[in-house]
Amino acid sequence: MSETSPPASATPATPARRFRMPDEIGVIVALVVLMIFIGVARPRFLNPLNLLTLLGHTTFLGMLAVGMVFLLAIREIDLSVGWMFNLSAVVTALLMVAGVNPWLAAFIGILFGALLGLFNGALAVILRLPAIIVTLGTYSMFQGLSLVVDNSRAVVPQDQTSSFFTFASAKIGKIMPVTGAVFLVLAIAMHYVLHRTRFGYRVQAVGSNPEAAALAGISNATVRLQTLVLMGAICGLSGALYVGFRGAIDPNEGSDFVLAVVAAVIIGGTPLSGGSGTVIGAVIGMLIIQVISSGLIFFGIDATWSTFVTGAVIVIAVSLDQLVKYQRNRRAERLKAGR
Amino acid sequence: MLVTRMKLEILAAVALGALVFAAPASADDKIKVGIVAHAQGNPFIQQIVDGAQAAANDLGAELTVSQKAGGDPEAELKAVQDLVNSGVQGVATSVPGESMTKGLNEIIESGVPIVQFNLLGAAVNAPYVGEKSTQSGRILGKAIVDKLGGASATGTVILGNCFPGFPVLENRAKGVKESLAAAPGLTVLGPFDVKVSAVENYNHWQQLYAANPDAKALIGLCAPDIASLGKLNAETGDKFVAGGYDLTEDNLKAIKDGHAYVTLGQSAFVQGYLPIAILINAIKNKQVPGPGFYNSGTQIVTADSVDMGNGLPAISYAEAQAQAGDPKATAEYYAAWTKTLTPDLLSKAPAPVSAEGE
Repeated sequence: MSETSPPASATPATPARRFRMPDEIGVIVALVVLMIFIGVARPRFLNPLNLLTLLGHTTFLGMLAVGMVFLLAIREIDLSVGWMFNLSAVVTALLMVAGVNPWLAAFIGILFGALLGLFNGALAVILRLPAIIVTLGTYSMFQGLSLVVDNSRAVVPQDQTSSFFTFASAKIGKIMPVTGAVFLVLAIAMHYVLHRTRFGYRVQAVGSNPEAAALAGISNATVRLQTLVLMGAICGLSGALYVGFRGAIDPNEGSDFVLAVVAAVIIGGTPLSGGSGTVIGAVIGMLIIQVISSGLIFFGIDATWSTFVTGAVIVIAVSLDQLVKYQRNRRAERLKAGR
Repeated sequence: MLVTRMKLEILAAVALGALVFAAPASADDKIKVGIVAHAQGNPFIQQIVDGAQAAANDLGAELTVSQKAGGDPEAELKAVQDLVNSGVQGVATSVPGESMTKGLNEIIESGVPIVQFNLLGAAVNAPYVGEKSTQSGRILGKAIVDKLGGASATGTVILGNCFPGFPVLENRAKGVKESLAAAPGLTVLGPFDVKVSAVENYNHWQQLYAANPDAKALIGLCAPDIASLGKLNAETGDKFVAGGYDLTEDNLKAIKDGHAYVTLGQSAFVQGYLPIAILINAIKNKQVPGPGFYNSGTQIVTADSVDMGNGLPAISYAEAQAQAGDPKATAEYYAAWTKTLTPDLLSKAPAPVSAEGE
């Protein structure tokens, strides 16, 4: 296989170096404005303890959003993420109940998540189907398997004296959840992977133009498979950490994760059309969803508005994405016409 | 281009701001409590919320309501934490999963009182207000057996559970099966997952009946079941006995129309009112109540009789139907019971949590 150069969209070549605002500046500003707005009206919202609680709220779903960026970047969506999370967590917790060392159980849980991702990927590649179709089926398969394995009951490891539980529940400086720190490290690492490694460039190349990528020697099938395995492994990591953090996994946990995860990625600025993605944007997108949800509670606004506003922000974000693309295309056409 | 994007995103924030300013202003002198429920747009849950609001009105407190769709424990725990961080002094919450236990106990340890309702987390160090779930299952099962002819009854009975894995519902199933075992000629199938949304619930029951057209009775464990079973029975010639739970308008109509036989209520109003009353009493006395069980009572409704439980006065079927969709009328009817909730009674140690499953 030949070496792969980064796609034009990933590292734009400019004749002269000049300061360029990060792509995520829009969502960062939106997040800051939201927080200041809520904080001015309800100062308790800006209490560091509350802000770190918010980060904790973002952790498990946020990890899945990080993985979903890679999938959207290759024009795919995995609908089974919530149940991969759940099933990996159930396997992890059941191993702990069976007496396996919790650290080892967590590691096996991550591998199991990757295996589920491999199953999705293999089906998508062999059957030449979009991942959204395959995972529509595996969503129910993994859910059913989880309910069979956990007997439709919560799995609670009784012995939680292991250092794994201490680690997952710990707070750095007594306020910052360790799981939150793991999430941030994962996000930074995945940002680097997407924008600075050969795998990341290939992901963007396949998403940008699969035919061109194939002509350049990139195996679309391999990249799709690798990306779905990565998604599964991240689900496994999130599930295993969840067991350590909460000390239990419930039979229905994760059932409605997928909508929030996809919403966060889209709000963050990753286009549905593929070819690029922003991990930092997805993290900010998930934070925006949590801030909105939390802000509505701080203001005592009727519970049903929370659902409405979350949906409205998603619609605005998607409209925005389309508007940006429209303007970009018009500018390109004008430049073309002017030559 | 970037500026346009920023403008639109800021617009989203401003839209939220408009909502924020539309929110009611808080009165600082009032006790602030919150309630978090595990479903949205569910008539039974709404009756609980109405009960909680009635308690807040009666006792001069400010209530913040948060409802999370789908029985997601993580989302509910987040809502409880957000309420506490926002300055609420006590929270009533259902506990749809064990994964909430650790987080709720941390809140309780910090001195914020919590009261559970409807769905019990057995390891949460807080009182629980709900039905005696296994016992209510036994009552429902016995009613069905009696209707089918007693101990000599034969045939197939199908059991459906809208939320497999919820302990309270599993206990109900256990109780129903115990009573059905009194008729050895009955073959019990299930419990099957029949889903909670009205559309899915009906579809699942329809499929179950299509697969077992000779079934003598279909029993549901959740609020949407009676309405689905009543509709199914009406369409197929009223060939089976339908039994289930909750006194929603749809369920009562199905029974009145003769398409369903019995529904058991678990006193939704009490499950909303009592937790808020306990919280307000605890906040006033600067106490954090420990684990215990408050029985919300069981209501038994057939077309021929209405037993509202809790020593409440007898009412007609029409009055029960009217109450189901009228929070004001319900609050007025329950006034005889709410007057009995003296501070002494609320401070008294409840029964042990184990009594819930007896």
